[in-house]
Amino acid sequence: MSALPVNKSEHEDAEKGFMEVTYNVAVEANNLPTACCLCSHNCGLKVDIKGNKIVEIRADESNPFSHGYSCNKAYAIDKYVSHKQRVTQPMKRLPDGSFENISWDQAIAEIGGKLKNILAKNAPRSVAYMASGQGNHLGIPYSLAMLWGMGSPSYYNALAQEKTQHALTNEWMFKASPNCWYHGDDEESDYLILLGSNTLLSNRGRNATELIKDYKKDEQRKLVVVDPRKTETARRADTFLPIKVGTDAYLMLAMATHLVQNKWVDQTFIQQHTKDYDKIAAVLEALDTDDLAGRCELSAADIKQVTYDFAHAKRPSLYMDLGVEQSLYSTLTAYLYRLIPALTGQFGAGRMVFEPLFAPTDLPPEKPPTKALVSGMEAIPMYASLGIFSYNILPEEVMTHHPDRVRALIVQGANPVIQGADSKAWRQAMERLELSVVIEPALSETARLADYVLPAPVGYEKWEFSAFPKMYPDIFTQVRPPVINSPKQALPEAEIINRLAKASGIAPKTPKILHRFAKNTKTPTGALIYLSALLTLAAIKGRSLKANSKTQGYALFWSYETLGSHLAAPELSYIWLNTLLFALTRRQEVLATYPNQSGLGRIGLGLFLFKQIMDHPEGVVLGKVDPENDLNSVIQFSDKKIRLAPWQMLDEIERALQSNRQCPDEYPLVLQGGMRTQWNANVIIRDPSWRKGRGPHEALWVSETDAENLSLSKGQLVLLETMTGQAKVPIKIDKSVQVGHVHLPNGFGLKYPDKETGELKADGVSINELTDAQERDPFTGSPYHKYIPCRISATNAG
Amino acid sequence: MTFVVTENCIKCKYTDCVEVCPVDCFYEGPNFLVIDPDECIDCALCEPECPAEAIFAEDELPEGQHQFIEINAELAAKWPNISQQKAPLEDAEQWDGTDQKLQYLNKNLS
Repeated sequence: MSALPVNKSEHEDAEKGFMEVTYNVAVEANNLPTACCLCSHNCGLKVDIKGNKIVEIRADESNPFSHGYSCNKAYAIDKYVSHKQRVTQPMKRLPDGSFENISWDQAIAEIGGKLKNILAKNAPRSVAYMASGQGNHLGIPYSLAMLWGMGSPSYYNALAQEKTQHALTNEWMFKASPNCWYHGDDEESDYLILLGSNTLLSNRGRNATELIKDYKKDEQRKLVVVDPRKTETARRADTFLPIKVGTDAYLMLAMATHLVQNKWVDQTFIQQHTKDYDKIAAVLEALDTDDLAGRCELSAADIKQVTYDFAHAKRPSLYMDLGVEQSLYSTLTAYLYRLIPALTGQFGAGRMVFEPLFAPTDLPPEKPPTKALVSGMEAIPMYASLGIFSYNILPEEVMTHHPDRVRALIVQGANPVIQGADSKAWRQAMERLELSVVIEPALSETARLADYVLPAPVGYEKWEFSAFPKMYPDIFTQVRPPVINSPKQALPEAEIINRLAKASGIAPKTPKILHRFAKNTKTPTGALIYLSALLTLAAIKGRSLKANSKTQGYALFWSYETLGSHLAAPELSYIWLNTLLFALTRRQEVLATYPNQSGLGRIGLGLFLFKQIMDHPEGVVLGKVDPENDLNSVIQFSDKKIRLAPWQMLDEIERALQSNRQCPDEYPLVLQGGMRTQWNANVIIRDPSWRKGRGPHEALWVSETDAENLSLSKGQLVLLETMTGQAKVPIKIDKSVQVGHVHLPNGFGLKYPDKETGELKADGVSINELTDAQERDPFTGSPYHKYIPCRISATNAG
Repeated sequence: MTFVVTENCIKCKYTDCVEVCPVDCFYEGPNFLVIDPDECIDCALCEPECPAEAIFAEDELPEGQHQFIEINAELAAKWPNISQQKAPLEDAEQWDGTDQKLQYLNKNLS
């Protein structure tokens, strides 16, 4: 793709720097607290600012969650902020594909008008919103407000590429709220089985290096690592199971089978806390564990031993991560990840836990969930009451001839042309859309194809927070003030959305009385009056008290405008609302952390917490759950019993057993995309110069045996081909790689101006040029990024 | 945990490692480099960079190299910080891979 001509002043503006302050942030300051936004851990940082630039970055020891932990990547934050592709003006695409700069007024009026038009002629679901944020989530509530205001269920979020199988199985088995995150408590466990997780490189948890070190040192703690590759974490394990890629569900099935067949189950727990044991036991009794071991290419004895050890450990836990979440049968694996602990009664500290979000206990999602037009896949609520669709299915929802197809798309905090499977399908979809708007700090690959590009500040130039749960059993949040000024014309997502909502008629006129009440929200009485008035008026206008109704949207728009003008930034009105509702619905958890505040009333406690949040930009604990009460508080079935045998999973077990997927002859190797290395981060860092050292960092990792069989040598450029596409990439021959498997790191393939020539040049392979959108989990749409049949061959190029 | 510079660095001192360290925790002597174990963040960037393959994670030190944990800690406390790569020592290539280099370790300030 050739570089599209863009307005030359883009570069000049970036070099001139700020011209007007948005939040009046000092251009020179030391020791400002913030956090890294490159992954979901958001390690606390302290930064020094000089000339409106981040010049020094340190890990923040005062952050209650990270306590001074950080990997190397946080030190490259300035490259995410300052680079040559910052969007500094609203832009509109011309017929010849180039962009012209336009004013905000023109952009808002035109987009608002077009949205109004499309909604007048078509079903609400024809307007889709893709809202993600990567550690910068403060805009997302307003994206949801747009969707609620429009009555559109077409919500796309990156959670549906990797995590929604957890929300789905939580719903089936526990009827849990979407506002919780189920996982192994690896910090307190004494027998941990890691599946598809290279903790030392992904840095998952509070302090990954100390955690793995402790498992290695402590005789009483055992670590089992299941991975096709002998990763850095696997090297420290007590037991390493070099599983064949894509067969983790069979391993988990074998474990569940051993538990039942050998009676290593907890009968008391099963009787008291579960339902349908007989159904699943009947299925498992009939399975052959030798056959299952054979599918995984693991020793049957090893699997049996690990199962025995797990069942008899004091505090056993499992932790599954992207390696299996983006592989075959990921929903089945997530189900077994819950079944195995349920059969052995292992919930609680050091075992399996349900981590709450910093969010109120939510309204139950509407039934039935919305289905995608083409696939029939159901939207899955996770971390919000509105169901989420996967990125991968959006192109087909655009390209279909169904009258309710997606005709308009707003993209925020995402680059789906790079991040969604089958980039070619994405490019086609972008062209087919009647209206596409990208709200982005950078002129990304998706932005280049959009009708309108609207500049947003990066995470350090605006108030932000990350919704990712962390620090179990504590409930933590960090609302971060901006540390530098954004380009003059950049507007926070929340502001852009509120303007669009007005211009398109989606947000109705704000009741004047709310402006009056908003002046007095500092006292509990004043806050109660405001909150009641806001929700009541929104419910009257929205004509509904149900989840995902216009009511929720209106409450957010109106509070942004009224309460917002009395806070440090209007989008903090979401934080205020969230905090008050959190304190109202989770009073017990809050008082567990703040017992001295028990004298405060329901609203007073919320106001107290809000002040804590604003007074602690380095992060603050808001409450604490009781690990021994998790299960009880999470299960919303009236009989409080875990459903062990959802019919969908009994069907899926059968499907998995009947299938024995192998690579076709023409594509005999399996590419696993998204390997974690020290030099890949998120695609929000576009400038490749943050990577140092010899590299080649973009290399395809190949086993010694495969390299030898194909006569390939170190660093050689190969042609990598899949059924969808091809790419040239240098190889790295590594002894950690299993034969038949190859690996590519994620985060590469972005087109950035070359240092010398200024021409757009891609650094490494964009994996989604090689992936097929149909290769996905049938329940969630999670792509099989870890199972891409491919072949490699030597190229003649030097 | 920390990373540790071991014997094969002595008399080579390539300094490729210094270039990638995000927290500048290398300290320089006349013919050896060390890592400050308190400043090291275990990011593991240095390990693959060393042409002499002299750097290891503390828990993966090869046989006979464990004394370098103490040596790194001791010398990091007295040596000056190095944050820019420089040319290796003159006969680096000849010394690379030579056994028993510990006897040549110069603990003085350069």
